Amino acid sequence: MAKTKFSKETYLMWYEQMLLMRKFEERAGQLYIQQKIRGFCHLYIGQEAIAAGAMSTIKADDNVITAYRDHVHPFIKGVEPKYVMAELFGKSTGVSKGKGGSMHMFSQPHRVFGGHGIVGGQIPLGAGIAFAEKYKGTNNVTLCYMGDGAVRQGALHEAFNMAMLWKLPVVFIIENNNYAMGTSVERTSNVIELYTLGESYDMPAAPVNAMSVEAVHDAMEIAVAHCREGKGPYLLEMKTYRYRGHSMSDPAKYRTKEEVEEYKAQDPIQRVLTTLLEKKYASEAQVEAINEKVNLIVDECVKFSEESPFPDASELYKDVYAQEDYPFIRE
Amino acid sequence: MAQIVKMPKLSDTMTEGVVSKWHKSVGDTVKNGDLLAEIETDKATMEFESFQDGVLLYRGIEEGQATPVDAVLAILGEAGEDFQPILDEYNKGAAKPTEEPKAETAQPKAEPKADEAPATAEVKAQPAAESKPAEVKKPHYLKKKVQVLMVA
Ligand SMILES: Cc1ncc(C[n+]2csc(CCOP(=O)(O)OP(=O)(O)O)c2C)c(N)n1
Ligand SMILES: [Mg+2]
Repeated sequence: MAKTKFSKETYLMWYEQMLLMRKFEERAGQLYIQQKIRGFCHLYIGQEAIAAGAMSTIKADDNVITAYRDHVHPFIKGVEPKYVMAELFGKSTGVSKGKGGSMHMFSQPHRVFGGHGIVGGQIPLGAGIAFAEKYKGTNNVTLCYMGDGAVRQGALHEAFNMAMLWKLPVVFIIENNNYAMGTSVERTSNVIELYTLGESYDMPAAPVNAMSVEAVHDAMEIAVAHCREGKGPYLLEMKTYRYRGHSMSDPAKYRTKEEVEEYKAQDPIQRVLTTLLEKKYASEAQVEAINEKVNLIVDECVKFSEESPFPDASELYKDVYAQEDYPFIRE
Repeated sequence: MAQIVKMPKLSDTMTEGVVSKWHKSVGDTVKNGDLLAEIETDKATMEFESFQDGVLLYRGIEEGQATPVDAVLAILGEAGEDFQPILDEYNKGAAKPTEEPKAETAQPKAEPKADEAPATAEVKAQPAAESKPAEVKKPHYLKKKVQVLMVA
């Protein structure tokens, strides 16, 4: 169990934030089957404590980069959910101006570096962002998220080696939900305790029960402080679970219903709710009010997205190269 | 107020779905999150959970039948409510899914295009019992129903 004592306000914040992530994703799933959202769509349902537990440990100038399961990571950095929803709709008001969609959430002002569809592609990029921060002499930390499948990519080893060698301020965070599409962790390597991969590079590393937002917070606090003090990278293996299929079209036949239920029984949101009520941090009525507020926020996200325009065709030529008159761009 | 539950688009390439099993009967109460039906898409059989609440008033198709995406799958409302007007209204509108589905529409019917048959193509598994003698006219890789593997 978590060692730190947390305030009532922290618990209330966690409850609201995680519920918002859950409801946002549930709605995204519904909108997908109604064809308001098209293309790919990978939901974060079940993994919310990882994002929420990070929120309480970082500052505005820190960086976040992740894979395609990326709808809620922008929330960590304070991006308003409606801009993420608009991106899912492909609307011009979306975080990536409607040109990225579900897998490519970017926000320069919030220092959110995507959304990457190439499994593991974000690992060396995350190290690179941390390198830039070190080079510029800031004390900004980079959070680099990856799945258990991404961990099996070769690029991880080069990135880990260099990050350690150069003491880069990056927290590598494995979101181990036990599956890479339909392939379980055990089927991909003899090394199934993923945090032990840090040992090869003398990188400090720890496993975390990511169904507990308190445990995530505690681990993140240690890792972020380690980076911020210039001591180099840190590896955290968040042991989590996704309740839904890999993407919208995955019936998830490779696992049993009992297995899913086992994890739902440890649901991170339910756990926080239990704490709120047991410690009398909130009454039933206050909880109901938060639920209501979250539903309204999600409704507002959808309304905003529906009413926003699609990007103009001319947008296709923009944001491709940093240099404006790059010779390959001709309208 | 009665509301239409449309055949959902459960995969990016799905054009129609077959109800392989209904989990609710007419008269049952359906809550947001309840398993309403198992629906066979071009890829797999998916569980379809309702995101609407209400009493199940009408089921658009029988088990084993197919209907296009957006056609009426079911109607939810208050017990005893007359759903006929909303059904007629919907079927008069843009989507006209009223035709009796033909038996073969239960199978994915998209003919593979040449450029859809690279090494990454996935062959849709056919139940062994159904396998027929192979046609010989087409090149080997076009004989089976080929679909581009969904990679993300
Ligand atoms: C380089 C590469 N190989 C394969 C794929 C296909 N692919 C997409 S998601 C995925 C599974 C990755 O699983 P994991 O890293 O555990 O992340 P999760 O989906 O569980 O969050 C695979 C193999 C890809 N997108 N990129
Ligand atoms: Mg995974």
